[in-house]
Amino acid sequence: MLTAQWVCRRCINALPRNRQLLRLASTDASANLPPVLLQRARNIAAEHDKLAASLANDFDPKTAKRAGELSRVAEALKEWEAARSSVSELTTLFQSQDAELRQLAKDELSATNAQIDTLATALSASLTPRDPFADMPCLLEVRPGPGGMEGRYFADAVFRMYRQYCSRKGIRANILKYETVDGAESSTGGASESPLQEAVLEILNAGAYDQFRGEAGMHRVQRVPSTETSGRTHTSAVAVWVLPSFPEDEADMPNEQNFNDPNSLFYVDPREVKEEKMRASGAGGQHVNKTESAIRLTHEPTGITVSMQDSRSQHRNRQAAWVLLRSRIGQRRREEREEEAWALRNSVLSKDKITRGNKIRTYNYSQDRCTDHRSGLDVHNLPDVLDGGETLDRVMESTKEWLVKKDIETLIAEEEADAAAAAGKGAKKGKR
Amino acid sequence: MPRLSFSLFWRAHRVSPHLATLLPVCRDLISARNELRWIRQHVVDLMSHTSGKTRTSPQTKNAQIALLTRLCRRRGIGVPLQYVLGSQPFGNLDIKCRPGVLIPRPETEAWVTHLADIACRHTDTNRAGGAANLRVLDLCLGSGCIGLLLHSLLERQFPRLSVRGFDVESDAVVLARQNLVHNTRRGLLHNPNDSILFLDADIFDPAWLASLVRHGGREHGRMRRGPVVDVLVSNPPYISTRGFDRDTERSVRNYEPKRALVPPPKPAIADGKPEDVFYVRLLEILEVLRSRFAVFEVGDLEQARRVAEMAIRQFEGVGAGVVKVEIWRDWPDMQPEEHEVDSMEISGLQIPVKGSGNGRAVFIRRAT
Repeated sequence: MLTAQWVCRRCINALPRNRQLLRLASTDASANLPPVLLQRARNIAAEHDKLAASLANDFDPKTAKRAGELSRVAEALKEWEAARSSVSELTTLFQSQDAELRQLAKDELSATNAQIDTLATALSASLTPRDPFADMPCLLEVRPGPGGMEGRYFADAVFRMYRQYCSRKGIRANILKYETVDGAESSTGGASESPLQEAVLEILNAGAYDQFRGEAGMHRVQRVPSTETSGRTHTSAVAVWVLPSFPEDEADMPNEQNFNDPNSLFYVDPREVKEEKMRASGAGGQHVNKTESAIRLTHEPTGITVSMQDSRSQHRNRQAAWVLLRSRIGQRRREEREEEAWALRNSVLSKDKITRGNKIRTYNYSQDRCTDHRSGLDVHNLPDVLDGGETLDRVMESTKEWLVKKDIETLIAEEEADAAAAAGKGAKKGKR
Repeated sequence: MPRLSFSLFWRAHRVSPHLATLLPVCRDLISARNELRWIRQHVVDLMSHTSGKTRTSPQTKNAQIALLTRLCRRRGIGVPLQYVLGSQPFGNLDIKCRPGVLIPRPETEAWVTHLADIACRHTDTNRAGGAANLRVLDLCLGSGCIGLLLHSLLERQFPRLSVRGFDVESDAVVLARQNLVHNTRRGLLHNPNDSILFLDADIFDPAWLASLVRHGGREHGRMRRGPVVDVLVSNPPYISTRGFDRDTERSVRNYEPKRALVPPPKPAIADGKPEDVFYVRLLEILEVLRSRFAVFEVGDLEQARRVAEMAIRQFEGVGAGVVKVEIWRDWPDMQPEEHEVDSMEISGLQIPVKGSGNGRAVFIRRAT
């Protein structure tokens, strides 16, 4: 059976007979661990044991913290090695004379072999550097891409998808901003959509950033808009940004990233921010009774502006605007920092970096299909995806797996490059 | 008011008929859209609160639509949104509003926040006794917003904070008390052993002032020359009769209480303008109470100048440098625009004018 989506028969005939038509979009990290990674894991585990031993004698918070960071790797390695040793034990049993024992060993071996793959992946994943914002809540911004009203209507659908996903999963979220433009509501696919200008969903659970970071990028839609009279399918795009946000309680902040600390990525000097309010042209005060409460903040060094008018309370609008401004500035600074790191490494891997420009997912209404372009996953039952149902879970899960694999690949390449550099140095020294 | 173009109504109507209803009052689509959203939110909150069910049955749906239509129509003929919805956010508080009592303004919120900052910064927290105790007096309290917001902003810094508010209108005092209960219940305010008290009184009554001084002195344990009240705030009526007819917005003129906007004619004050009568009395009260900080809201920069001048004249006797006068604009924290002056010469003194916008408040600080 063909695994590809659809191939024209002529093309099949034109191809060499024995060619397999496989989609090769997904990348598979090797199940058996590459030696460089294993070496690195062993080094880390050794360091962890040393630290743990020294901690037993006298407690030092710094050492304890470092040990805590390393324990993830050390534990994963321990489990993996245990599985490995049981495999080798079972293999010796397999040579045994007793037929019953051999059968038992065979059953056990297949189970353990399956387990060892997942353990190896877990071990490599534990070696990848953890995202500095992984434990933070996040802001999810939805904006229409270029492409007229249709993009705006679909942006509303995407925004609702994430809102319903959160409510189904019991994730605490609130709408920070929801701005629409002029235009009637349109109803496509049984739900009414308003033309969206910009919407921001604040997801308050800790670790939400890690959960949603794979959603950032361009989401493409292919459908016949309700406004279209001649039934042509339109393609438009919606941009989703995921920004790290701040926990309500500052003490929950991971990595000591306090926004009052000037060294933090999120530090914003209040003097650099210009605040603008709606000014009454007339006398103001008791003379008028205006209900506008819009606030606009401009961060002058970067030119980032945030305007907020959702709440009747100016106070609340200002708070929301500051949350959004801090997150945007933090994300921008982080991107700059990573850009530098990539330039330094001069690596081919950077081409896989997820940027805002990359198309990550397609929602095709006429084929009732949602495709994730990174993991290569195709799912049907599009209405369930757009309702934030369990099908969306599957899509998000596949994205997450893809991200982990990507990280592991990067790590392997880095380790190999380091090893090669070290070997080169050693060879040079040897020559002298 | 310029006439709104028909196409604008048409565009609004295409989005929602309610938007077109709101347009004559809001004057543009953006604010009409915002107000419609707030009214809608209010209706949904109200209905879910009363029925307590999450699923909406067709009956509640119809009731919601009927209520929405009614509220939009009321707003459309010019009733202030705050009276339609029955509340107005003020700082972090939620202030209930009712016809007959002045609606809290955002400019008031701005100067109250600024005053709370100053009171925090300029009070020596290390000094024993004096710091934990701060007495605030709010005259012409209306909905009680100023006193309540000051309490909410200062209660952490001053554990023994007390707020007293007076108004001549008993309706206003009742509403202010309701606001106190409402915000305490929502956890936005803490009112241990009645540190906030709102009472009926006519501030022009000499007997009231005498009792206030007596009460303040007794509360202090011993009679001394220190302040009876630390912070005196007021948002009195300050619009002239002519200004009321010409400069006020229609919804203000038609629906808000005139008594809270225009001072009643008082024959006792011979010199000065009739709209300044409250400031004359407030400055007298300030002299008696010897407050460290006082803020009076004013109508514009010209009135601010007159009030500042009166204050300087009133406190000429106490010695140079003891009393400092400042004028605050609408947004005292913001950078001034280029055309806005940052100081004024009044009676030979340079008076700083802080912030951006219209002249909004006169701040008087007295060194102790």
